[in-house]
Amino acid sequence: MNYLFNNKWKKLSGWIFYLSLPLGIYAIISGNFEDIFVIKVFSIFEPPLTNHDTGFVWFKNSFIDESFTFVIIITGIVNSFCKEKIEDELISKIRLESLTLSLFISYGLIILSTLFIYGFEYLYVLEFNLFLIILLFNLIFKYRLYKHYKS
Amino acid sequence: MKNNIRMYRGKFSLTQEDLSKKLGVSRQTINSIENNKYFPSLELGLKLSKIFECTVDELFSLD
Repeated sequence: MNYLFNNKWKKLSGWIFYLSLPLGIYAIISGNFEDIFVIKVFSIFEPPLTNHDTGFVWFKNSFIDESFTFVIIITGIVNSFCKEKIEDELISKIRLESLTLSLFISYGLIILSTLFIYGFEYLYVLEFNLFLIILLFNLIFKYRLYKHYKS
Repeated sequence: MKNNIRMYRGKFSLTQEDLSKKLGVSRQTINSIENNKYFPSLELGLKLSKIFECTVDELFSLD
């Protein structure tokens, strides 16, 4: 059984992923889009910036950063896990090795960040790490595929 | 592990492209196998032995 997506989604998801990634990271880190796309959302924990010990409440929130998060994660996963035109066992091996390497690098960076970055900045590291493993996997896999097809 | 795929391919007058089509893999995969960069699965090994009408032992051997 394989869980790969159809090859026809590869190009479209790639374009959306690499366009939305820098925009999304900027939107999330800068917080410049707090007034855009404000909707009522449901939170199972208390809304931020309140001291009430409440949960399971509706409150107004800019949904732009959440939207970017959905788009980046979904398109990143689809693009990374699309079938190649000829999907054979060597491609599967390259995919697995790329995923393993990206996981090691990503968690290595988290360990280093935990050791050397403290305070509020550490939150940025965690936010960036939401996408780092997908990005690394995508880049490593694409590079190794490029080398494979060149051989 | 080493293999005699290139030799058998020559014997059957098949190009890497022809063989890749018969096996349903890419031409680059055949190239990687021939150059010992990739060791194929048992399934692929059996398919190769069927195409070349020989045993797996005759195709692959340990160094």
